[in-house]
Amino acid sequence: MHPVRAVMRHVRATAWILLLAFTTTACSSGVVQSKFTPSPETYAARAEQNGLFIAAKPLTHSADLSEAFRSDITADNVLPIFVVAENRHTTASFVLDKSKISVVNMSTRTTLDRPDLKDVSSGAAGNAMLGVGPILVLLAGVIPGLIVISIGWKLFADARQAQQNIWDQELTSRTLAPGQTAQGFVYVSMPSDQVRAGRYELVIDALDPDTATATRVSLPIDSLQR
Amino acid sequence: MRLRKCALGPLLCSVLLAGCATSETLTVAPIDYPRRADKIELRIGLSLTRELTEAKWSDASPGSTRVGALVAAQTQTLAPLVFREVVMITDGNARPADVDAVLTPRLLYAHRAPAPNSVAVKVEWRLLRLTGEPIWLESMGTRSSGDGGDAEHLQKALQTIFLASEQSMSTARSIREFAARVRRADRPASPVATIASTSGTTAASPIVASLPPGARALVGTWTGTLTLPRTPGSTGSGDRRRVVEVVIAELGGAIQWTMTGPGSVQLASGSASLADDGGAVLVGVFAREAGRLAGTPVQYHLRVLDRRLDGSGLTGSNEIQELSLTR
Repeated sequence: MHPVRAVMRHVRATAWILLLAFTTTACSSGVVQSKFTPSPETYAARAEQNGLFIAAKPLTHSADLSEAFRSDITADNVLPIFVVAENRHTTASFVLDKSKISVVNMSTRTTLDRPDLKDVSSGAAGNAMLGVGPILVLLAGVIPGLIVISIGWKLFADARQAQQNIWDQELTSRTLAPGQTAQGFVYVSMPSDQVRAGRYELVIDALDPDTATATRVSLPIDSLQR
Repeated sequence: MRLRKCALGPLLCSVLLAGCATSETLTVAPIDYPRRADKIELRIGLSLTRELTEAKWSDASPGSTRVGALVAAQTQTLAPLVFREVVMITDGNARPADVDAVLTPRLLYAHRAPAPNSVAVKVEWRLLRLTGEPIWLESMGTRSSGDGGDAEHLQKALQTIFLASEQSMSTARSIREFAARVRRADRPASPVATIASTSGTTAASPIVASLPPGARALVGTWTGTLTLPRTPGSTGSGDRRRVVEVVIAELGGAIQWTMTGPGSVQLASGSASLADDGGAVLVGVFAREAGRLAGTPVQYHLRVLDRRLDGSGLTGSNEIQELSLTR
């Protein structure tokens, strides 16, 4: 056999083995379910009103974001604020309605929008590679095409897992009986230059379902990265 | 050589993608709820919105599975276990004025992800007074992942969510306090609607007088056939078709229905209402005598054609049945 052909055969065989190994890895991604539970003393802000205790911590550090979501969602111009609500009242319950939780920009006094979570960590790059891959198989050959598909698949799968982490940990509507606690993230959209350098106010309007009286808890939040 | 290369690429792609793809055939088995000594003494309206019943996977992935319909079907089983009396409210129907509160489930998301295959579901419950003020809001979510397809994970997730919901709803302090206040209020007890008490004393009830005329037209005895979907054991259409009798009656201000098979064996029962398109909606649960369907919730959407009712139904196990009746 011609020496160049022999070398080419080796290269091809190695490429197939590498591709197979990569594909197997892509189909069993290491992304795992995430639950972020920071220690209470790290909360940047705390307040209590009528027995409703609220603590909040905006997440801007890469390590925290990675621990919580396995993804840096601030890249999608979303600031996640971790909120803990505890009913310390002896008799009253509090209804926390997600639609009655807002974040106000302190400098403009405007209420920040909630992002559509379908658009956060949507895995657009992985989707694009999965679309291009089959075309590449036909135009450039099986190996380059499959490599692109494998990478695309891994990006897509990781993004989907991260998206579940984001959805899963959102603070949704709850009713807190005395002694009960709820925790989760409030997500707000904001311009990229303000995600890590803004002053905001978290406003929670809770309702006592028995007396229909509202309790408002407001607390300032500083997302400035230190 | 070129031809082989062309054929090999798509083939490998299909194998690669199929290996990580997810199944579309979803079913949810009946949930075994714990038996509780007492139900909450409330007459609630159960609002199953079109937004819920038509909700699909929320991650924009392909597939036509109506996850929301499964949630709606499970809710129809759960609500009567927790509350003394449940009246169905569908889109377009007037809200009954004589209920104590309205319970509305909402599918916040049903998200699936590959590698490792996982399904995350969250359902929000809103129990509101008739004035719209909240009595109890709760969100129940879970994630099922690991070996198994979407059907298995969705079933596990819904079972976890509905068991947790039953526990939370049955023991919620704010609901119990509201029920106690309603009981304390000086109001005449509403008649309890059960299929067994068909004594027909409801004609004089002011509640019955408020039934829409179309709804009253449903009242009567209907006979016809119930056609079940093909199963691995079925050999032809004969063993899938059953002769049934459906009795629709006014009871305690609501319309109730009972389906019986040959030998007067009760197959299913529940409540009926009119949809905004003029059709009839029959929601209920299959009885113990219904064999493999025992305990499974069902919802039929039927066209009303003078002396005929026909249409299809979706069961809690995602099975589609055909129902054709004449008066």
